Amino acid sequence: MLRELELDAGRPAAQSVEFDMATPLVAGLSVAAAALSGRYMIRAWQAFRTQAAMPRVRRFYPGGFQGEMNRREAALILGVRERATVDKIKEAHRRVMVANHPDAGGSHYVASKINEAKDMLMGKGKSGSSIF
Amino acid sequence: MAGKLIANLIVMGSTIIGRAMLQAYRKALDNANKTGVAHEAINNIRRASKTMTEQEARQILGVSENSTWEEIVQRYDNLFERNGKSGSFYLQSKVHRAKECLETVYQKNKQDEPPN
Repeated sequence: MLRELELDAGRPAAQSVEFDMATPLVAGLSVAAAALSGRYMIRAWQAFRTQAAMPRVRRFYPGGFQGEMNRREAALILGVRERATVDKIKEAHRRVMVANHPDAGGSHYVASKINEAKDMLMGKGKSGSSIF
Repeated sequence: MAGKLIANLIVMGSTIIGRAMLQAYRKALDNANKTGVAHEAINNIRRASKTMTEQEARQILGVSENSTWEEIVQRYDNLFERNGKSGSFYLQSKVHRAKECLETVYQKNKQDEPPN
């Protein structure tokens, strides 16, 4: 009975079968295309982010130390604000000196600069009494 | 009478204002000197056409004139890394510039030496 029905509706059945067979192929191709597109997008995003990050690298300060230190350079050397409190200055001085101590591979020149910076910021320099 | 009085007031006011402006100008110069702004401006102009000297570069890295390039690179790597951890960016900059300066010097020396 079932076979007879199939035979009777031969052509419509065949067409239906063809349509059913085509659908998975189309679906597969769509998925593949989507995957490739996603991969390309990810690569493009990474490249964009990499390029964008390059110009943001901090530029090193040019030249050497100034002939005569001022408060701005002293603050830069210790990595604090010009108007930092005494406690912060002492803490920064200790931290920076640990990295540049002559007994641990640092140079005497840089160590003397760090000490000079601390004295200047703590008001022991020639312009320490200034409010500005 | 009124005109004379007004004239006196104007002259007196002008004198006071002029004196105040003069004092303010002098005060501004004094502050600029104290805070180092004027000095810094002069240094900036001077530094624009000047880079670190070889002597200062050697002092910063703590090397002598007899040091080899390998020693310099080793000290540079050490100081750069430690200043990156607990030092300041300014000192890191100075260490980097010192290495650049000595690199130029050593390249020049290498070129000057005739190959045997």
